[in-house]
Amino acid sequence: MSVARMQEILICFGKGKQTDIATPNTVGTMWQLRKLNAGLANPKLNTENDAEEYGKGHEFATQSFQTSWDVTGTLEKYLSAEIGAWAMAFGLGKVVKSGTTPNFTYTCTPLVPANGDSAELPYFSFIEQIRPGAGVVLDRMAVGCAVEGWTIALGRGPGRANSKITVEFIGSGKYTEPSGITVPAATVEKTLLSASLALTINGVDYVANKNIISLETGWKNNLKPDEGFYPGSGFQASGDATSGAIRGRLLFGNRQGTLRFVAGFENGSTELTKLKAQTTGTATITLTYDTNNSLAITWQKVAFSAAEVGETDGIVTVSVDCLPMWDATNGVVSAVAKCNIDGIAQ
Amino acid sequence: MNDKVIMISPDGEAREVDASPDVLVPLMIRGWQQKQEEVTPDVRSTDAGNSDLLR
Repeated sequence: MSVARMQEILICFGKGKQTDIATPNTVGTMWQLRKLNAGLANPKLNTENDAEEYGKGHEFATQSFQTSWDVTGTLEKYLSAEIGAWAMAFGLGKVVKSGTTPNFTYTCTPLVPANGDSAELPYFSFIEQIRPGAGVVLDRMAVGCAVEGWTIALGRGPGRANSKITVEFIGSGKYTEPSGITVPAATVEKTLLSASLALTINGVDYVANKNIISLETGWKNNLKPDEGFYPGSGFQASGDATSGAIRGRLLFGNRQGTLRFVAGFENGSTELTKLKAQTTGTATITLTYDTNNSLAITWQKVAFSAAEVGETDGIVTVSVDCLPMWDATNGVVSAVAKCNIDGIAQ
Repeated sequence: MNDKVIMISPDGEAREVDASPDVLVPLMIRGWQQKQEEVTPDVRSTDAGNSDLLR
């Protein structure tokens, strides 16, 4: 037997959404993408025992029971049009698909339960495999996963390392082993490099001014995993009460958007003035591979919540935290993602 | 020419609109959803295409 190395890990997950939290994706609605982090989405079994029960004559456990299952995972990737579209669609939750190949367009916004939207995000299945088949090392599928949050980080310098996305997800606890899925060939991704950035925040074009240093933006759903264990939520093995409970839903909690950036601070820079005046405006972040592959994120109304002058590599800079706010017409954030992949979150 | 999509309001009103973010985002925020493509059921007989029947 040979040692299994982490470079062998294959991940495959739903590009389309599951029909419900407990029904896994079929292979036709899944894709294989590559990732940067070695971390695995290990199903974690929680147990309990009878140590506290009276009548045994002692304080020690004599039995243990499977209580519930947890699944969490993180995807770190170079940002591409494909993963950008997927993260926006599954992370924000509401999607309108338009266009045809090679230019599918996904317009994404957060769900608004007050206006009749669901409080559950679309669900997907997540597979990890190492040498599936006769010599299997690992082959399992977490079912009913939802995006907890995503973060996009852009920096200076050439190459893919200066444009990354991190996606965190939480599963229902249900998993299948072996997955029963033959992982499709890896999707070829169109990378969205930081050199393609177009950036306007609060009326200032930071790319035209050539003074943007770095930027980080993100979204967090603050999923409520404990709310998933409602009476009747089900078990790992259907009908088997000894197999541990699984979640029947993953509701999002109080969602948060983040946007912070570092820019050169020079004569005429307006960040401190806008902080004091609490000036509001949009923030638009656009990354482009070509006409058919891009990602545009718009924070509909931001004010600066902090602006601190400092230095970066000897250059005077200002580090700005933005407060994403609700705009009465357009909500808090929207994303328009273009790529040549059909069926994302459909 | 812009693509068009059909959006459904929370009250069930259907409207064909330009698939541009300026149009879509305000509707999406107000609870409108895209009309899902209808899947045409396969109503053929299970024997359809059976070469014995065609003979």
